[in-house]
Amino acid sequence: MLSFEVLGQTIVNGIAAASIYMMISLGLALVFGVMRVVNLAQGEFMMLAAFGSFWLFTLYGVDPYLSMVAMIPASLLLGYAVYRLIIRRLLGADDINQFLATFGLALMLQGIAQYLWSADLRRLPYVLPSLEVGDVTLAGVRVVNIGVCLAVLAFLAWFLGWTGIGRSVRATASNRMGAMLCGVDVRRVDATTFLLGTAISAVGGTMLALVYFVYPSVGAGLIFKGFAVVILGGMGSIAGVIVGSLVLGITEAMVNVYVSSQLSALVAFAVIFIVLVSRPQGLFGTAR
Amino acid sequence: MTSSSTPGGTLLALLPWLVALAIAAAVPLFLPIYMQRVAVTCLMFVTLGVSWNLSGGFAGQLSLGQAAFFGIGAYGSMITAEHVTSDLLTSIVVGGIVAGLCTPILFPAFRLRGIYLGMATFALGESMRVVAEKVFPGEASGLHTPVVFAVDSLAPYYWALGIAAFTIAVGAWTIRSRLGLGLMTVREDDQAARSIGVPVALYKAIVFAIGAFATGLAGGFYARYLGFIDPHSVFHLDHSINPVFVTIIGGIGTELGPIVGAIFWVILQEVLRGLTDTPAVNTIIYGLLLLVVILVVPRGIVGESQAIWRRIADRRRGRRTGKEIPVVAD
Repeated sequence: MLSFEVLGQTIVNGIAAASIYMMISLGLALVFGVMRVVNLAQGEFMMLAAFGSFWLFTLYGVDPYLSMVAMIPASLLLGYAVYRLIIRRLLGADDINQFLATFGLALMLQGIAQYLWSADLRRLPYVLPSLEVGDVTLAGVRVVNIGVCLAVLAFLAWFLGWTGIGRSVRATASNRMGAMLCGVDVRRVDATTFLLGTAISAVGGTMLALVYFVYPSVGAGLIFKGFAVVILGGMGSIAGVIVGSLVLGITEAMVNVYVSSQLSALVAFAVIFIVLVSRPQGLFGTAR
Repeated sequence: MTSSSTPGGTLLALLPWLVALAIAAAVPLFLPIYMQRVAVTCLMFVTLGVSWNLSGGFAGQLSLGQAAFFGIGAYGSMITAEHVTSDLLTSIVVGGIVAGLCTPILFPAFRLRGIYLGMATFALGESMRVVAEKVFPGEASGLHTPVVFAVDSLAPYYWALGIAAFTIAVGAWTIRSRLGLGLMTVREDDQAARSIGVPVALYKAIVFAIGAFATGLAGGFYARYLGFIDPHSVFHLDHSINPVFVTIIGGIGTELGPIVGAIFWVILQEVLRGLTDTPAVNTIIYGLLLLVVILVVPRGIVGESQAIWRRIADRRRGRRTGKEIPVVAD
């Protein structure tokens, strides 16, 4: 079992999974970092985009990489509605209320998807030639997923580092009151951040549809991976999300191959529990 | 809400509860079999909600992993029934005790607050499910015990009522005791509580143990009632979410909240079932209700009614109040 080919393949699989985890975790981390709101419905944004790409491909034969782009404006509309109607009212609310309100939203969106499209597992049959390096093989769609993920990270780095609004986002995340006192329009920052997170998750939705099944509760399963990543990396840290996703993705792949496929589901929960209990600030966070 | 020191006063305070119990005992006699079963579910929700409300509502410790104790209680009672004695009471109580004894699995999480505690307990509950699926494999080899109740028997209802009444009584005692006072102090400010000498960790341990015991009783009863369990059904996330849900709807941190919430939710579900047979619609309503309650009436049915009642009472006394009167729920 312990051959380098298997090990290499496992790590590559882990990285491919991490690229999806990053898409959901970036949304969670951005929203939490700026607004201190944990959005449990982040996974449902992903699920809806996955369905969107699935249907566009199945009904009209639209290329998923085209619909990946088309899902962005669609998700912004939904994201803005959710922000105005729900998220904005949860600013500063009790933890438990935030948690349950966004959980309610998640359930609603899942229910709507199930009502419209049933709970069936669906597959988007889109294949690209796979990439082979030595004995390690990676499906073409996964290779592109990793590329898309890197592009999103590059965009985010540019946005947060080199634009005015990006600077305001970072200022608000580091000290909301201070940013307000310096004249930052924190409401605009909130909306921008939330929409940015929504759009990233929507891109992730199409990525997900290409490598996994599409069904109404697919996002609910992913949100807990997102929690594990965000907690591991330190709530609200972007660098933490990157490292956290890779650690989770690769660890799961390792456990899957070398221990038991059943127990790989345990990794995310174990990470959440152990990290919270032993190092609540995560790997990259500072002590609070 | 007020406890009097005179024996007559105590009796008077108990009276509404005794009347409610008498009504609850008479109700199933007028219900068709199907509705009796619904009522059993309702009483289970009451038990789970009331026990969750002790830690989640009065002590402010958000636990999202009660399914762990429900499942442990279910397995405890089934294993007892299979290998030791098939006596119903013994097996259910053993289920509760085993669940209570498992409280220490929460100890490492006690330093966490709010959402962090919620996530840690959630992770624990889900981990228990994954582990149980590994230890007790598959639906094919789930645990069976001989059927205890006849199909048209009223017995399950009274068992569920007994467990719910016991839990309500223990809860009522808890929140009126020194323990309850200490826990409410912890909810408001745990640092301040510690500084005035409240043994915070001990109190948290006790309240979670009480909750685990009651939840374990409910799990044990559920298992014997159905006569068949598997890890997926008894460690299901629903058993962690439902208690929170009914408590929030009814009014978190109020004594009647989980009871009212459970009854409201079960009736609503039945009404919905009459209107549509699509489970998806149920899920949508479930989510919408949660959202609306939190955004519009975060104090829940009972909390909001109490607030309105107080406002009316104050106005009647001719006292002008400029500010909101704080309620227990806050």
